[in-house]
Amino acid sequence: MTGRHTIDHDRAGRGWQWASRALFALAIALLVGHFLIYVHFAVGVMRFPFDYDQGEGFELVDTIMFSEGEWPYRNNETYPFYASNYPPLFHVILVPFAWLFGPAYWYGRLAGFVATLITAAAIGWIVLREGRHRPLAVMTGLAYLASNYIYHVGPLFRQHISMVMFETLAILVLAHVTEGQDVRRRRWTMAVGLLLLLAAGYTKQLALATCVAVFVFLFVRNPRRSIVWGVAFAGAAGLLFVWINIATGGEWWANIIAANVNEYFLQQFIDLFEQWFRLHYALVIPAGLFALYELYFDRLSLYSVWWALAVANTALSGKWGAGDSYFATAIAATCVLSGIFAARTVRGEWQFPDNYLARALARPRAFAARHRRSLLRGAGVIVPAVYVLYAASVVKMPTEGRFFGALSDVLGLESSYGDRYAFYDAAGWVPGYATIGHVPSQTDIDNGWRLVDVIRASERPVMSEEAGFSLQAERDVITNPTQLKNLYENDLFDPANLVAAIRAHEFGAIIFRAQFYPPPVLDAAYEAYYPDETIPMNGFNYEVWRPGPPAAERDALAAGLGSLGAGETATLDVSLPVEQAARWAAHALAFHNWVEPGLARQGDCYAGQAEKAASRLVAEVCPSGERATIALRGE
Amino acid sequence: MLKRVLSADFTLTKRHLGALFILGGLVVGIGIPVSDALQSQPDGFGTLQQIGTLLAVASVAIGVTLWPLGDRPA
Repeated sequence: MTGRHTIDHDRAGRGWQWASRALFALAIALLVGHFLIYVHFAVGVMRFPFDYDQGEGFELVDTIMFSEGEWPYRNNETYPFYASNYPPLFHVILVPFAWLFGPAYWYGRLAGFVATLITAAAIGWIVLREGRHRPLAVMTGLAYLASNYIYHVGPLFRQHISMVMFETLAILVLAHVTEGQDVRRRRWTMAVGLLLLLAAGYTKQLALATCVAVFVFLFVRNPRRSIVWGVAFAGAAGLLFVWINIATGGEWWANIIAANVNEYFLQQFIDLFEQWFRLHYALVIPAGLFALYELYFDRLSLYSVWWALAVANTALSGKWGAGDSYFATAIAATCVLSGIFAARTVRGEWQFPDNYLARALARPRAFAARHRRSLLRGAGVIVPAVYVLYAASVVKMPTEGRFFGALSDVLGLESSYGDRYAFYDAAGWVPGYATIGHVPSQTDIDNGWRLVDVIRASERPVMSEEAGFSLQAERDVITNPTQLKNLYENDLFDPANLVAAIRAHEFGAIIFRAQFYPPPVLDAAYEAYYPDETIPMNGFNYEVWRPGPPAAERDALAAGLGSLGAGETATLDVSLPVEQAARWAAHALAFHNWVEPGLARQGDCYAGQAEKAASRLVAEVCPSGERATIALRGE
Repeated sequence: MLKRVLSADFTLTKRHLGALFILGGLVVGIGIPVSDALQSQPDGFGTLQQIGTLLAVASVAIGVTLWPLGDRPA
């Protein structure tokens, strides 16, 4: 198990070797357990026909648009007020699935899941190539899949994890590109590696750090080669960029680059970094030590440069809209580096060429040389123990169901999310960390279809904060909220048309989840619509907002509220049935900053009191045929 | 000099790398207070500046400790 260099033949040695084998077996068993939980989650999410994580539906919309030969980079200021902020490759890859199966989430989630498996295999391959230790190669691949962060984002209809796959494959291909003597082979290797890098960049912009890592590595090894290939790479990437920008009339630049300049929250990054380190420290520390070793005692490998830049790039997780997924590349690089460190340790292959630092470490090195056998025995136990520690640090699992319910009881684990989800996550929660990981229930699916029915029942288009309901109802997907918000905050979106459409009730309903729209859009929705129904799904409350009365009646209420004096009464007729009119009146009072505890039913009417500063009024909503009458009496 | 750097067999040494780390650290270390001073309303030495300064100091320290490693390939 620990390699031919460490085979002992005495009794004590056999004892150590058995201990090592037992710990390796335990580490692999625990990591396989994590993998099975991951598969369980992936299958559960693939069966869920709606957005599981915010934004998945819009990636599906992009895929559908590409399958119909359309660009998703378009003018946001006209109907349906939709544009994408992600590069195209992930969606283009899924186009054949869209042709075969239409709009569905499972194939994007399957693609993400398969991408994580390929990444894990690539990590294992690198560790096997560099460390020549099969169990560790398997363990490092499984360690990647065991991470809470990879578990989260892996089986989602999101492009992020495919970017990490292309990045890791590029590193696998390019790591030794400078060493070969066969020029033809070297050029082919370089071309394939850079093509994978280009694929990563056109899957998600965040791959820029890996591109920089590759060219920094090439520069350190040979500046000329770095410059020549860098120019070719930048030329290819640039030409592609210019072509798409021209084809989309400049919308590509606005939606992909300009819209991604978001507000930055340093504390979010610091919290996420601390959480990442707390979960992965067992691997991060050896990875850091390996990078330092190469810096001072060996040549810098591409792996170390990649790791350093990937960790530095996690600083972008502090952006609004970013989160734990921004650590995925750093986790892949950490698994690679710590795996090589571990393999070199159990094989006793550390070399310290003579330099001032090696001389400073002369005593410990002499001690290590004298006790080489004992140290190797210890390494054979400590290295798998580190992976056991890691496996224990990243525990996450469902806490209900026949198997997981019993297992979580045995382990003493309770849901980290109370009644919201039945899911334990050792990560805890910090801002930016996705509160997902549970398998959606049949009730979630049923409630999702209720929301689809809301859209189907409407004669007019429905503006939904998530695309899935509209896609399932075979209706237009209207708005990409966070994209509009990003553009608005960068002065790149004029919401006038959308605001006018909302005020004119051009949408039969609005479905909110988190209200991530630009403030003027939310303001228009608050003014013209009212919350009519709340449908819980997947741990979130989806609010169905329906059109209030026409603008003239809304203005009449606003005017009445503005001029109402003590003892005065204002009456207005609204074109809503009494029940809906009461809900709208309660909402409208709140919108105009009147504090009211709700209108209670009194016979056929609804009535209640409201306060604003020193003023108080009594509101009464009564039926008037098919319509309703609202009476406001100042007190 | 440039011809040598751009030759097919040139590779950076530990000393070159050290020099780049020192240079990078100095640029960041000096750039942080300068950029703050150039703002119309300097917002003081916040957390971001503290992290930047820490990284600059670390970069210079790495550069200084790499320098004695001389001509070994980086």
